[in-house]
Amino acid sequence: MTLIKEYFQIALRSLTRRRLRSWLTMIGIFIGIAAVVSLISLGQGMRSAVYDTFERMGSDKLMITPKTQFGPPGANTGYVPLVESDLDFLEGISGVQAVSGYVMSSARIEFQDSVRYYSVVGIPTEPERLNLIIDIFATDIAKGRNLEPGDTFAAVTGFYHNERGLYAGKNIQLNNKFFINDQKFYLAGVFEPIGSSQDDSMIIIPMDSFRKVTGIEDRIDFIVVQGDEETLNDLADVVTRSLARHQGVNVDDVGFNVQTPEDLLSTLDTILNIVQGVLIGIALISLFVGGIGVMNTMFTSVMERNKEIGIMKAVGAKNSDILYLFLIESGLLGLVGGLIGIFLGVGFAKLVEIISTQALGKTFLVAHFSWGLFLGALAFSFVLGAGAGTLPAVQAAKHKPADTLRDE
Amino acid sequence: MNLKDMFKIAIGNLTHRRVRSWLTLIGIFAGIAAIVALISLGQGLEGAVTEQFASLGVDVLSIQGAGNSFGPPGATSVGKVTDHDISLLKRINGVKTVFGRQLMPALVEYRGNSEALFLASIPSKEGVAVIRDIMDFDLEEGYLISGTDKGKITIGSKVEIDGLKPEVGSKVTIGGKEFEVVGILKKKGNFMIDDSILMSEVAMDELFDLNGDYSLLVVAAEADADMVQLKDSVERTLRRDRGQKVGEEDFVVSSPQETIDSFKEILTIVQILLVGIAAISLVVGAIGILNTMYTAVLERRKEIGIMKSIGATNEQVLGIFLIESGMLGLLGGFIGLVLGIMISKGVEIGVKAAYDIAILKAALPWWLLVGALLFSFVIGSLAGTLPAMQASRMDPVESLRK
Repeated sequence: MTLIKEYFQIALRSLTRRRLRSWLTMIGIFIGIAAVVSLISLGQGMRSAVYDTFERMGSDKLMITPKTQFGPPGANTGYVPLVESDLDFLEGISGVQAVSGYVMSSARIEFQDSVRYYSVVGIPTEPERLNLIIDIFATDIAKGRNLEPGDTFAAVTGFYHNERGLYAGKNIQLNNKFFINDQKFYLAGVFEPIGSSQDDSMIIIPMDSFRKVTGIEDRIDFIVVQGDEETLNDLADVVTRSLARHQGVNVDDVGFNVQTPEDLLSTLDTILNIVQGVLIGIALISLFVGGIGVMNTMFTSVMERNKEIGIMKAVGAKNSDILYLFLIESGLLGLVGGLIGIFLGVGFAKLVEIISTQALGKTFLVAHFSWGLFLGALAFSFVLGAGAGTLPAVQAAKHKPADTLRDE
Repeated sequence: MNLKDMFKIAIGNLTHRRVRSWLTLIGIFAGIAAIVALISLGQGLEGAVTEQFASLGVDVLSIQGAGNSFGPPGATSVGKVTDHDISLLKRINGVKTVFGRQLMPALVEYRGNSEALFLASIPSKEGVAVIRDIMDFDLEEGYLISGTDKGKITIGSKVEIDGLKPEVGSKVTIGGKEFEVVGILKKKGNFMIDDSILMSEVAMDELFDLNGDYSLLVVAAEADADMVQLKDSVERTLRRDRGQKVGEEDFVVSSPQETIDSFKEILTIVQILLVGIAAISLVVGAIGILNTMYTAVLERRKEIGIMKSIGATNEQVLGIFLIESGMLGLLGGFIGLVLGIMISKGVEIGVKAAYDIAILKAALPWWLLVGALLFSFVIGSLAGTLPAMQASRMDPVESLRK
């Protein structure tokens, strides 16, 4: 036990004696560790933001979208389109708890003498369907209220319009009037930001009013089916086959996709993994370079202490003693570098979090720290240091005491 | 002691401590290689994007109804572009010709299977020559339909129905009508050409009953026209005709150049992020040089003392150490450059093998090559400045006594 304590004492002394060199070597390690720690914590933060959104939407819901390869809602592809009466049909399938959907189109919006074109989304106002579709939007009301059963010409607008869109430079109030395709609507509420300007620029109105002002009959652009979380995959099959039969088409030729939250999540997960992998991969280059720096410092250290090694061996130190001595020294360089790097990385990630919150007006990205990350970073930097020190340490251990002492 | 001597001493020192010099070099060239590869691939990607859109030609404008950015032009828009607009725009100075295009998704049946594909129209009159010119169609087999052919289509190289490629001479059914495949286009690596089915405007009109409405209008300019000015006159003409105020248009005029520019902007941001992260390793490498040079100064205290006592000036000592660290940087930069080029060429070959078409070409502009060398030399010299100054200021008596 005392032996190990002595190893550490000798290693520490030699590091503090060459203070400047030790610091420079550690900078090499901690910059890399800081970059990796902040990238991982931000990546984890982004991942949990995505998972949160899905959790709000609920993992017991299927999403049905028309299969239009080049994707505009309602484009005539020759497939049997999804229609509003499909909602009623789907409600009748056993295992389905609730069904809802929406239809969207662009429309001419006139507000206080200015005219713009935005997408308008029509949603059902029957209580059960209304609640289900509001769940899917996964955002809260910032001001006023959501659409309610019995609403006709009421609208809820996305957050985007507050600053840049419809109301840019204008003072908006609840109950303000505006025109959608020349029909007068009033503002019932405003959503909290969702995070993409596409989602945040939507204008939501009751489905009946939507059909009146756009002239679009029957069409539905999105259907959500609520079922039981446990049996959702089976339900997806049942829904696909029943709806195909209902439409009178072969299951292989249906004009819609049925997706489970799992499907969507795994796609997003893959994308996030690739992006994070590339970024961390590039950041790892700097850790590699830092490791080379440790190796360089240790080779120099071995060379400078040839005499010391010779004397230690002459008074009975074994090869393994010398090996441990140098391994501990380089491992310490890595470990302390890693510790400083973790602090810096946490600071940097927090900084990015604050800046993104400032820029977007809402906290979407929360840097996610875990003990696993910290311990992993420490272990990694220690192994990196010790690994980089192995060659020099082996070289030191193999020194013949007679040779080293004679050389001086 | 002249410059040549200083170089000799510096090189002698570097080769004397071979392991240490190599390790320091690795620190530099890893970073330089990463940066060179990222920039070269980024530039190549930019070139690929530009090429995808260049097929639209830079001397054309496209006009479509305002609306939201879902899918193909015209599909969800409120405003319409029509035959009336064509005759209006043809009168503008600097306009060579104007024609409309239809872009429609449709269900295509072939041998009992069906798939939703994209139909694109070939204009019927003087537009044919222009569209051939700007889209630069090459045929693999058969021929290109004219703007009036009925019952015939030419298809892109990647058009498949349930995995089956229709052959020249075979028949497909679209919207209940039969069409004969008369030609297959050569692969261009451009989704607008490879994935579309070309049909004459006349046939498309019959199929969808479009009545003079178009998905978009294409305005081809005279060779010497000022595109910015032309875009302005097109907007003004349409506004006046529709009685709309500035900012309230129900149409959008865009030039391929703008699309290319906005893509380039995104690519530049991504590239800055990646190169920025890669540059961290260069900072670490530079610190490695700093460390190596401090060690070198420390070890050669005696040597410096002797040089100074036999007449070397402070500047000469400074020069020796600066040359030494600058050479570490330069040599590291050179190896990094070669490695970086190899990596980006490797990715280019990999992409070509994976996608069977040379879309991504690693770009190696001269400024990248020269810049990388210059940059690494400057980094090396800068990192060596502090240690070199320390060396030059050493008191010969002090350093010899120790």
